[in-house]
Amino acid sequence: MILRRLQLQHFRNYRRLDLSLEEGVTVLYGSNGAGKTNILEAVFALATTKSFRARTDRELIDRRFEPLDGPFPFARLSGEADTARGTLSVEMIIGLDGATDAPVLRKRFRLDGTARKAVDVVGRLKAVLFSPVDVDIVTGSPSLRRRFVDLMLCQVDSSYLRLLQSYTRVVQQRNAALSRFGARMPAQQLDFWDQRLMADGSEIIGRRLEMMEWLGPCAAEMYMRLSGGGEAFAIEYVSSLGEIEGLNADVQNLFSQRLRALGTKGLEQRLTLVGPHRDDLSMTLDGVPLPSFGSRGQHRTAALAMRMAEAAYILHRTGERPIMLLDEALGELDDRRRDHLLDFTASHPQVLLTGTTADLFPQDFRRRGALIHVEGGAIAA
Amino acid sequence: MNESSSRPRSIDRAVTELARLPGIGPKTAQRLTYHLLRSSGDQVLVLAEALRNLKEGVVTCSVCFNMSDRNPCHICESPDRDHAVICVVENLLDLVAIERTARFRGVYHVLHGAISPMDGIGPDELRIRELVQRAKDTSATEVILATNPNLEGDATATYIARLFEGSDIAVTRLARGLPVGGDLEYADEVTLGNALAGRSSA
Ligand SMILES: [Zn+2]
Repeated sequence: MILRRLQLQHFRNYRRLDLSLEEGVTVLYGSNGAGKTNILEAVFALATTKSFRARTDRELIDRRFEPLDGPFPFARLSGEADTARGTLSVEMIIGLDGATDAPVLRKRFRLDGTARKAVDVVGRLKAVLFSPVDVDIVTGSPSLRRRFVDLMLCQVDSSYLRLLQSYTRVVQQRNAALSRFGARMPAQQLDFWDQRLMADGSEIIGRRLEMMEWLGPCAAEMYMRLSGGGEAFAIEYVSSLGEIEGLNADVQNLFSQRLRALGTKGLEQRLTLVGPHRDDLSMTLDGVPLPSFGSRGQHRTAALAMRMAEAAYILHRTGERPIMLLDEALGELDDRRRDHLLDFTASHPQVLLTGTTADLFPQDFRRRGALIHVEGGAIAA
Repeated sequence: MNESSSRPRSIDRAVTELARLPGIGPKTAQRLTYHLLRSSGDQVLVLAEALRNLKEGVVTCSVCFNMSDRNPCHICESPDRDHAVICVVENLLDLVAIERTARFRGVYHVLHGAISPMDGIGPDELRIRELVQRAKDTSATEVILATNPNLEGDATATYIARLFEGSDIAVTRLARGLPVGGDLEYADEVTLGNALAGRSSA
């Protein structure tokens, strides 16, 4: 997949940007705060409908806009890409939605010029982001690992996003019902939510297990190549439902057993204590838990291996090589790992990298690629 | 609104009140206000009069909880309709949408919402108890659950279907020709009419 053109309007520090991009490697360099990462963020947002670092959508709109009740602020992102199925245009507009009592910022999307919902847009443009904070997937909270898994599945199958949204709402509704009644919950009012919880929940777990069956060995292989062999890296899906035996296991039955076993304890806590929203990934190196015992370097290598496996998985499921986005991703790597990462990404039709100076990248890499100097929210000549 | 300090308070008030309505933001409210200002005095008065009479002339039907200018409502009073077939809808607009299809000759029951614990709405907050009582009292033969095809609509339909288990009343649901996750009131007449014709057991 190749992004041919990226246009930004009032996005972060870009008042207006119209950037033509080439196949191969593009190095975006410039000082801190120049707006290099904003370009990768925009590409990632067009691929996933979400920013990888903004906490609110307001952050994405140019700060030079006056307060929200003044002139109507908005940001517009649009990308044109060549895909295996022909050309594709994705557009995202973040703006005020006046169709409610209190106007709120809302994201709207267009696919090839036609208005579409976010779920129909996710994964049309395919991208994998490598970033220094990826190490949090290894050392951070389980929610970050679930997000890693979910975002990957959403990019290859939009029905997974629908499923996830439906499940999340079921959990919210179920918890709301529990918080109202606690242990005195009338069975016939809980029944529907339990049925949906188990049906959607087991479907989600099933798809994650299927994905892990492929991703696990692939990530292990990538780790081996990055580290030069020696240590065996393994990832496994750990469910709050307990041990799940193989892909043909009856997850729904297991779910129902676990819910029943929790009994009134589950009701008294007024929370849904088991399900895919409580699951995790376990990572080990030679059988030793990586997050607690590994070194910083091993954590970094594992995170890198998982991102590379993510790119391989997207190719495996969709037949399309995603756009590689490397955000200051080379900084802490030794030569061996850096060269491996660059070799791997270069096997993709398009790579966008950021760095403070162009010298950070190996000579032959710079020669092959286009250099773009970013300064103050604009492309310097 | 930046210019709010410089313009008459009556304009501000109209903009504020209009902006409270669903589907109308500050921008639209402002456009409507200035449109009314430019309109003839008669036109504005006619609208004001219509709004003033809106609440006074409308009562809730004590049988089906539809809104009408009389109680019981036209539908509940009509001898041309089959009073043994009750179509259960979430809102008044859903009733209007089904009437528009002209394919349904039974009567309605308006729940005024759907089960949604997040919004503090359980079965007791809806007209469900009244529905069960009514179906028994009137010897209904069929209850059609025409709740929205989304999570909360499904929860409501499932809950109601349970209440009729073991009774002689057939409980059916609209066929799934409807866009999943959509709202009944936005479905076109043909789709909704087909969904009604192809309803299945709940
Ligand atoms: Zn009535």
